[in-house]
Amino acid sequence: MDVISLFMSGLWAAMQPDNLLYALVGCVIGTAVGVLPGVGPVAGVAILLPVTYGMTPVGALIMLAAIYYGTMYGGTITSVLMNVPGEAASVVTAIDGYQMAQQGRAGTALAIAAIGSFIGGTIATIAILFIAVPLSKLSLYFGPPEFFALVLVGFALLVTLAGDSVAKGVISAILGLALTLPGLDPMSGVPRMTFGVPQMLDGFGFVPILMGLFGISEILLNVENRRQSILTAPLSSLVLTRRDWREAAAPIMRGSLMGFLIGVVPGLGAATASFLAYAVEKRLAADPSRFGNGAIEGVAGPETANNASANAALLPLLTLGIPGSATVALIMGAFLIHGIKPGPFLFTEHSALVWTLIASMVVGNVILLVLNLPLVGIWAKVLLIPYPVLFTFILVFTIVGTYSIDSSLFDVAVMLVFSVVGYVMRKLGFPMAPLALTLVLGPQFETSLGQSLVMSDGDPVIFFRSWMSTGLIVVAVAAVLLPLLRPVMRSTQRLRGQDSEV
Amino acid sequence: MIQSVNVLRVALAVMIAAGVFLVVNGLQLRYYVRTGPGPGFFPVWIGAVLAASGLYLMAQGFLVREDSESFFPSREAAQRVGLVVLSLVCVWVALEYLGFRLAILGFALIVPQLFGRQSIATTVVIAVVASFGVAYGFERWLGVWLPTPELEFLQRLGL
Repeated sequence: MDVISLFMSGLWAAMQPDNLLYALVGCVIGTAVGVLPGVGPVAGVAILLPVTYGMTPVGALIMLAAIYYGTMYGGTITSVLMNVPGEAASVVTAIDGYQMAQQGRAGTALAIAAIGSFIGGTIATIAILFIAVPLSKLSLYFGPPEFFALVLVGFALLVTLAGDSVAKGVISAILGLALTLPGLDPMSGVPRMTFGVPQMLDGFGFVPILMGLFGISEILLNVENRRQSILTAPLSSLVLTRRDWREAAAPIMRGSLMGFLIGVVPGLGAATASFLAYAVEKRLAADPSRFGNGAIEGVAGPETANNASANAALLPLLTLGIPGSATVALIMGAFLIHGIKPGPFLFTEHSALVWTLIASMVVGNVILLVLNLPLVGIWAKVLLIPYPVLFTFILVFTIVGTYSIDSSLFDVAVMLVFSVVGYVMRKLGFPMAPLALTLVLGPQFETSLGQSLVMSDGDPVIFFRSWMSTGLIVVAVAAVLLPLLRPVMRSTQRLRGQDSEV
Repeated sequence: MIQSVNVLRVALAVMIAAGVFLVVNGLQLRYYVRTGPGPGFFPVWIGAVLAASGLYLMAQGFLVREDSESFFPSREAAQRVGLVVLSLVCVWVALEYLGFRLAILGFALIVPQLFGRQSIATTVVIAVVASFGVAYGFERWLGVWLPTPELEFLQRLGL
């Protein structure tokens, strides 16, 4: 069956009432999460992950994916109306978006952001259509050594997630791996670090850990400031003039391309896409001085890029099983919870599910355009809810969600412990994304290493017997070494430049 | 006020101790079997890297002497964070004995009042929705059954 017919059958499934409902619920929640400062997409997906247990796998994934790319739309609202980004990828939108609001053009800014996000998300999804299958056909070459090498690539990309301190990033990543150790050894079945506690035989569930680390720790960070509620600027008309369209058209096209290319690379993230798009638009503008003073290109480009990036970020997850960010790692967790392993075999073993998910992203972007254009005034009112009331409900949902996994108060205790751990780690500047990545990929890492060495009777050369695993290991090594070598190369170039001047 | 650098040192000391524990525990399990890594292989390596990374950061921290900022922005901030954590611990204990509805009712009555300026009537409505409303929604619509009280007389009341 060719790609178009597979997509059309997925679209038919995505348009069924129950799947449409999941997409709608996900878009509404995602927009709400994006609107609320202090609750990012990671916390939103983490909090709602356990609620999806009772759903069908396709419904759960449609909803969680919609929450993820929905937050990109919602974050714009607070950026434009209050100069407070709802999430990281909307930071740069605040620069010109808020200025447009100050000039009485808040409606124009929000409209172009919503339209740009729709175009970027749709283009990214269509690109996934044509790239996903060829990429997943590489699955024919994947055995345990290739899986091990693939996970190594994922770990190597931790360097890009580590932020300013690589040492802290390494510790965060190692902690994530350490948390996968308790339980039963995957190769021998021997209990390991269970301390005689029966609940530990299954190890630490990654959902309670992630909910504590990301969901509740976020609230603890926000509670430090005695925030009550937030006032917003008034909205203006959403109608765009011909000049607005003319100025925004090229940034939207460039933002779509940049966002997609950045989104498919694990580790870069939607925030990187939006910052890069802003920088490019400013560089290309005939009058760069307009940027920072309400330039519509400063909203159109970044908003398109961040949504294109969010949609594209699902491609490495679906085709290679590599989550490129903490949020996508959580979505990967949702796959695993429902007994589905994302990666090279997904398109062959769960073809209907994955094509329905991809088609639902197109549907979801349409829903988000409808939600965010005429209903933007309603979203602005959500910000009037007092924060103490808001976080009370969020905490209640996290407790319910965690308990519902195994009807276990032990899981709730794990979540509470890791909420304090997450709070302390974030205050001390430890990046959390590497921990989420290794927590989710750790079991696969250990299992594929063990299986590979069993196949080769303990000989590690097995990892270099196929071109696929050798190539992936080379990529992993390069991903680690290049950022470390870049400062050295720059100093060498500078020295050469000084020598030539002499 | 607690300095961030001191909290970092304590955190790193805990990590180093955890790393050493993993190494010791791993060595007590089988490190390697004929066909590959045994159950102790990963704990040893992960523990070693964790302890080494912790030692590296600890050494950096001791070598660089600069004024450290306070871990909490203010005493009030520390109290607010502490209150949230304490209230969550109390909820966890209460969930087992009082069940979901009563535990969350108490939580939602107290926390918004501690941190906000809502009227009593508003707080009561919020608390009822957060406890009985959420329980109804999750149990009836999503099929998620929530903790019931251990105390018999509360069970007889249908809580």
